[in-house]
Amino acid sequence: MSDDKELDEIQAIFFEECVEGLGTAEEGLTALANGEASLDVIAGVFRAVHSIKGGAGAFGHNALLTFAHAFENVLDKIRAGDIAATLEIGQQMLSAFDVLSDHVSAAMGRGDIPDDGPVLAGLNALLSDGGAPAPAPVTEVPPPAEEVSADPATEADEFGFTPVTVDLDDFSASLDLGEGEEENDSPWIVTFQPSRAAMANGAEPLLVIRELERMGARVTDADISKLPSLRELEPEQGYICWKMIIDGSVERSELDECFDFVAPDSVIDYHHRESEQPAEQPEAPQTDTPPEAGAETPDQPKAAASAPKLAAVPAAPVPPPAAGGEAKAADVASQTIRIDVTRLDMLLNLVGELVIRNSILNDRLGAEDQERVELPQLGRLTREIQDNVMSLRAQPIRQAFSRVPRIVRELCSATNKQVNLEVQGETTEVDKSVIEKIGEPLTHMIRNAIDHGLETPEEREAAGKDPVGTVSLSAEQKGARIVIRVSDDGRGIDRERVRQKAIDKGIVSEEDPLTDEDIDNLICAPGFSTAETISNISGRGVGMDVVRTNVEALGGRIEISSTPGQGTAFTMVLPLTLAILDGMIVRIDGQRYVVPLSHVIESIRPERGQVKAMSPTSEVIDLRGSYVPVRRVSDLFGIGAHARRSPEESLVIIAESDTAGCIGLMVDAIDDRRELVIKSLDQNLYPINGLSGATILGDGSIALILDIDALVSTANASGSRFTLKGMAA
Amino acid sequence: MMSKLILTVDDSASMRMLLKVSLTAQGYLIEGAEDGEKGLERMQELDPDLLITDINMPHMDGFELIEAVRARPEFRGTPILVLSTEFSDEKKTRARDAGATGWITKPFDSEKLGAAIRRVCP
Repeated sequence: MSDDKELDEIQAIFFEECVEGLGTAEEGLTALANGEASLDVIAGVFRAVHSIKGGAGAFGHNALLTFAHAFENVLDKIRAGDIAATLEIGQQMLSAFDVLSDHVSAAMGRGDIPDDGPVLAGLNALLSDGGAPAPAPVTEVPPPAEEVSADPATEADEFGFTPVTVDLDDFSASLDLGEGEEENDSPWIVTFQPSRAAMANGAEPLLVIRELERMGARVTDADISKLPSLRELEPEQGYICWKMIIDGSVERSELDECFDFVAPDSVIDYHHRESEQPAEQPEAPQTDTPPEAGAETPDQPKAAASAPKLAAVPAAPVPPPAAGGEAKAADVASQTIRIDVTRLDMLLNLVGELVIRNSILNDRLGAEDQERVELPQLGRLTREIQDNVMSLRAQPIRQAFSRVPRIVRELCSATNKQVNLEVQGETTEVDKSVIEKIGEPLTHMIRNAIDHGLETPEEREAAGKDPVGTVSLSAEQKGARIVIRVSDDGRGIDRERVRQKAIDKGIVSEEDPLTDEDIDNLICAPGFSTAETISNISGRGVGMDVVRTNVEALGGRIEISSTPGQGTAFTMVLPLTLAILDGMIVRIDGQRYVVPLSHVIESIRPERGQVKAMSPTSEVIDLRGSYVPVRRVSDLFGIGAHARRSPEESLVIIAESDTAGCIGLMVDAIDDRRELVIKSLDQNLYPINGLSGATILGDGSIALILDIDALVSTANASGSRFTLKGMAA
Repeated sequence: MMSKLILTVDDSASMRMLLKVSLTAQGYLIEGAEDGEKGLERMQELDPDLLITDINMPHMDGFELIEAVRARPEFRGTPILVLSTEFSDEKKTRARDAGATGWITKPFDSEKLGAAIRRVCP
């Protein structure tokens, strides 16, 4: 085979398929556990696990192979109706599924191979009890010893043996193989008469003879007595009986393999020259089982054994093909190709450049050129390309949600709580960059909801609630944002306790006037944890503040709302994409900056007296009776300020931070509003507080993108200390 | 001699790639398809010297594909090998009844696969 690198790449693709397959399997098994699985669903799960097994074998992940094999066998029996698809079975399969995913993770090098003993035993127990109509030993006869050696790692058997490659040379002497023939070095005498249907199914007996010749066979005789006259000869039938002699060192298994495809109905016999030819051997329909397994009475036992096997056939769910086997209309879902993500990223980057160049062209060309029809067309095309490339990266959020059911199951058993998980909007599409980043915050939110939010079944019953708690996970698109909500119907936030704790921890002081909302948000404060004892589930209280920091780093925000006794909802609001931004381009001291439009509420040219100085460095604007702090961007960055403009000569942009209220940003002018491709700042520049990135404008110059949240937090003298973002980044 | 063209039908991209790597090294030209329906289309398009197909696939499984291929007169003599992790006699019989020439069990060994191909594809 080829070099290792190529294999590694293929293996990486296999792992991707595993992850996809696990997703399909989990979905299907969840349906099964809820009593909603159709045959199609089970078949889909079976295929997914089957593929995982196939690849596991190919890449030598034997533990995974063994487990997947047992798993698949159970699925096969469920599919065939041999094991009733009860809810209990569904639950058991779900638990087994978790072990299967651990096996996959281990194969991927993430974590150890799980201890699957009890679960595997459970699966095997199902196989032996459940399959009464077609007990496992019948349909799943392990291949005879020689076949195991012939096909390395062919199959794990139902007792969970890991297949190993055995070199028969080392064992042949000690293995009891029938009558000790294998020790016989005398030449093989081979008789081969292709069946009457020898050339059906595209078979070609001649090629078998060629292969035998390659092994050193010499044809010693060709019996043409059955050859009819030319007129009666049917070209696709076998008439000639060949006799060959092959060196005795050739293994029987090699001959078995050679005749494998032509075995049915052909007359095949091979024996060592001196050994007695077994009676009745010719005419006996050969199977894949080597004759020595039952050489004395080859036919009767086999026929008897095959009867129940065939009886089990009608249970197989595959329908006969459509009449005539006409190709059905191509299924749209199957018309997909797999593309390396880095290529998509490169494409997006290039399209970004194209958008920029297009703007530059527009800026440079005069008005009369602008009127030419080609330019607007070019602009429109460019935008369409951009939209399309963005949509290539859009993926259903299901991928990020797929981990949740497992987390819930694990937490349920760790906390002895009962949880019903409701998921909505999993088909909502968001940019890949978002999916990659929300996994961790989502996990924390779910853990938080179950560990802290929900009560124990006893507590719930005492409070007159259903002992089974509900955790809802939903996603929906709202404009250019995606809203992900995790809510529970638990006890709600105990505000008095949270406040006390925050005071104890020195996060707020006794005198701070705090609204309910302020208190709820305290649980996102760094170092805050309300769990009386640190649980190993929600971690050491670093959870929620990390969640907040991560979400804000994505340009999103978290909202918490809680009703005592009724539950808590965490709402994560994120941009649909992290690559493109609708921005307002503003000028400050000759420099241009971008204010993300999603933050802008309004822009005002202040009237005289509308902006009031509170101190030499702080001003507020009177906005229809309420006061909003005003900051000069040049002050915030410590730049310019050579000529302090009066407010009347400036514009004030009222921007709303996601977390810490509003701010008025005093700027010199507003230049434009447009879609911008976000370029991240170089790693070594990265956390500059107040800047989230940069973009290239139409004229080729660079504009920095303001991070409103950070600006508000930094500027807001009365702002809560715990909302300082960027510090933790 | 012109290289033989083999169409491999398997819903797993990694398995198709493994086959491609292994068989390209043995001098075959390889094309792939990811399910039975696609496989049938590609058969008509390519008229390969050999079809290697998986059994468990969405849309149209291996048995159906084999039957559909065999139903076409032009493919009556085209050898078809099944490459599957399954190995039960029942499945093998079914494949043969559908028109398969031979059956190879996954995971495959490159050399043995090559030998198997030589036994059905001159």
